[in-house]
Amino acid sequence: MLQSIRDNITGWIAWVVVILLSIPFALFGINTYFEGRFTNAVATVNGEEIPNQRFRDRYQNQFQQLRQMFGDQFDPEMIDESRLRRQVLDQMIQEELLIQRAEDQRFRADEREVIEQIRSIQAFHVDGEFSMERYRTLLRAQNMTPSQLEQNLTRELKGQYLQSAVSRSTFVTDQEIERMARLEAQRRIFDEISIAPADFIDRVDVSDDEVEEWYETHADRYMTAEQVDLRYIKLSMAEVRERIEIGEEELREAWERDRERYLEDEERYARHILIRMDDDESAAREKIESLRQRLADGESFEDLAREYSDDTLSGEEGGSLGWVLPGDMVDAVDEVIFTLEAGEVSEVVESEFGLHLVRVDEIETPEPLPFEEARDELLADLRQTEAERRFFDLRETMADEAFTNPDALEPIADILDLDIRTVEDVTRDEGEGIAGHSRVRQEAFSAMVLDEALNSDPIELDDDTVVVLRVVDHRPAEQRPLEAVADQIREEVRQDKATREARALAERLRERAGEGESFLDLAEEADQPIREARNVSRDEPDMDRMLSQALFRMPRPENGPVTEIIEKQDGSLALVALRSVESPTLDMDADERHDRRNAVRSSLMQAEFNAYVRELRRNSDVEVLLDDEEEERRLQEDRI
Amino acid sequence: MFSSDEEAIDAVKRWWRENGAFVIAGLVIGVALIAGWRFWQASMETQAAEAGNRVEQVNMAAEMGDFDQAATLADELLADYRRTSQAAHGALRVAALAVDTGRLEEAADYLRWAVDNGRDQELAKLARVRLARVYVALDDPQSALDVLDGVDPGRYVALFEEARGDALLAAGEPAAAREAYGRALDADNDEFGASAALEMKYHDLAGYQD
Repeated sequence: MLQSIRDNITGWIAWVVVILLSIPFALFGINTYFEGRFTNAVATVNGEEIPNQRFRDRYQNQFQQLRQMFGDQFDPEMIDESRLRRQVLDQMIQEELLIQRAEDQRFRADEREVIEQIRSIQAFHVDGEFSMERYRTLLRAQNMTPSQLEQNLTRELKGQYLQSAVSRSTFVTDQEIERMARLEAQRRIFDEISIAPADFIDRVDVSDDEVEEWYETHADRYMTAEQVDLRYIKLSMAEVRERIEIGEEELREAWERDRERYLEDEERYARHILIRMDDDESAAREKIESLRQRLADGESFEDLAREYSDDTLSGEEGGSLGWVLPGDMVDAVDEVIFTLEAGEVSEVVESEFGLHLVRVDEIETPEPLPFEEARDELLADLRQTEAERRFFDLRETMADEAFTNPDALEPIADILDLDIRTVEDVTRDEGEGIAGHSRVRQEAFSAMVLDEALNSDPIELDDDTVVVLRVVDHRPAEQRPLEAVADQIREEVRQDKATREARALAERLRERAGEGESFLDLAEEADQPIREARNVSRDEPDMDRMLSQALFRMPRPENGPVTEIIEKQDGSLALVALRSVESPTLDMDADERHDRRNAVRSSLMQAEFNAYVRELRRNSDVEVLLDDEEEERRLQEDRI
Repeated sequence: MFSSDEEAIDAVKRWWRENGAFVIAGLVIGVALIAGWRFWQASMETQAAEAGNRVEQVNMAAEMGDFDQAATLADELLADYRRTSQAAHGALRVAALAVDTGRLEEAADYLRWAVDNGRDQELAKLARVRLARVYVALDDPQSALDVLDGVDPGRYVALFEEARGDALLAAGEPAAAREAYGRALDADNDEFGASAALEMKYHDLAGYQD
């Protein structure tokens, strides 16, 4: 059969077959058939893929934003990368779900709005204006056609429409607002007996046996820190630079080649008029403005300088400062001199001497420096370039050698001609020298370096420094001898006993209060301070936070006061009798009602919309393909 | 199989005489189906676009706070475009305006419509919680409970349980209300950390467990 098809394929039958086959393509387009077969996706959402590339871009973006947000305090280690990856992916999945739902509902994106959005994207701007050229260039660089971008934006816009459609209809009822307001305004009235463990400290004794017993039962608290001693080699740009020797020959060649770059300083011939501002500032300003006006009207700078300048020395010379090099004058004047055009009169310049008007008469274009004078700068430049190149090579070598010689540092040190150094007593949490870097400590205690006793991978401490290290001595954590910690333990036991005594007293008093004894009598008998009938709100100023939180979580009193023992933030105890709960009558004006409504509405909006999207996800076919197993597990869990 | 081209042509001709009618019929039906599908799609598209415009008008009237206007437009939308998924957005928007202007009965009617007719199942579920809250405000906790009961809340657990708690409290069952708030807190904590308001409602009912 196949043979016969082959035989006849050149005949007209072949044409019939081809034409029949082409009908579906003509109707549905060939692209749907071949698209997306071998792409590399991080997730599929109802069959629609989220490409890895887009995910990575988005992730980078997010990372940069965090970096900017924290500014100088940014430390890459404070970011849980796998968590961030998960958040970004979740966000993208949600967006995709929303877009698909919006397309199902046939939301339409306004073309003008899409165009408006493209025009507002900063990246396409040149000098604050949208530039067609830049737009096309950037898209080409991203391997994207304008219509693809428009399509993406159109989709995103639809998603946004659906989001606002859902959020727009969130409401809050008056009853809810009033109930919230009443709850917030609630006040509670209570008596409080304070019982401070500190008062019992002097009354408790601690025996040696108790100390020993505590030492045994809390053994894990009295351990030395696990420590390692490290040997390492360190490759640093500064040292590489020190070692570089540049011969005279080489310097001369470089000078010949680059002489245009090493120029003499520019010299300018300048004049100025100075008006001091000793006592009357505004008079001085008026005076100099009038001089400026007279100059503008064509009067001679030299004459005015002679007549008015408070710098009489230069004034006599028509204000001349002579030939000036950068840095010769005070900063403010210096800066003006080297920005003016020849013949131009400056604005009023203020310096520590007073107010100046400055004019530059002549500018001498700088000449190339003679070799001897350019030599130092040239040497520094050559050194730097060479050092960077060599540092890069050495770093490569270091990585290779560390990989091929995992069991010793010496061969690497020999090849790189570096010293082997040591740092001792490094714990997981701190260390000196290079061990001050948390990445160094992390490596030092890693399975590879610690357990298998291999060299670490090269660790970049910063752009200019790389180290390779190994562990030479490992001291596991061990229990400190009793003598060393006995005093410390005695204090801890004392504290513990005092707390218990205080608690026991509080329990006894509470019990008796339950039997009907008055709080006042109890406090007096126990000789503890009492505060009666405190009337407080939820956010009472100057009130212990733990006390106020616990107080507002107590049951309402029905038959007589409700009692409770509450531990305060400072560790002392409060025996509390809640007498009554008061809900003040509401007196909300329209403004307050309005503000409250808006506040509640915006948080409810968030909650409703989040629930909607997550419910969408629950009912959709979302598959996460991130290669990280841990990540995948967490994401899967999320869907259950 | 065939000794010459001529024989092959004969065979094909024969086959065509026997089956040609079916092939042509098949093609005609196929093309008609495709054309019909496309036509139907296009008409859905037009309908959705029209419904979308109406929803936009409802939104505009609602932003102006003109309930009568918004309600009139919405009623037309719900009557003429009942089968579009857009219609529910209009109903929900008017319902929110009704609540804001103190028309709780009307709000309940529009929300009820969205619950019963909404094409977007996830959105209809959201409408359901909102409806329950309006019933609570109408001092009809039983209806609120009826709306919430027997429906899988899915990811709306926290919202459902909070509304249920409100309804139970209004129905004079503080212990059950506290339990519902507790479930809402659990569900919320899994995700974002519970809202301060919900915590306050829960703790205010301290002592009612069991």
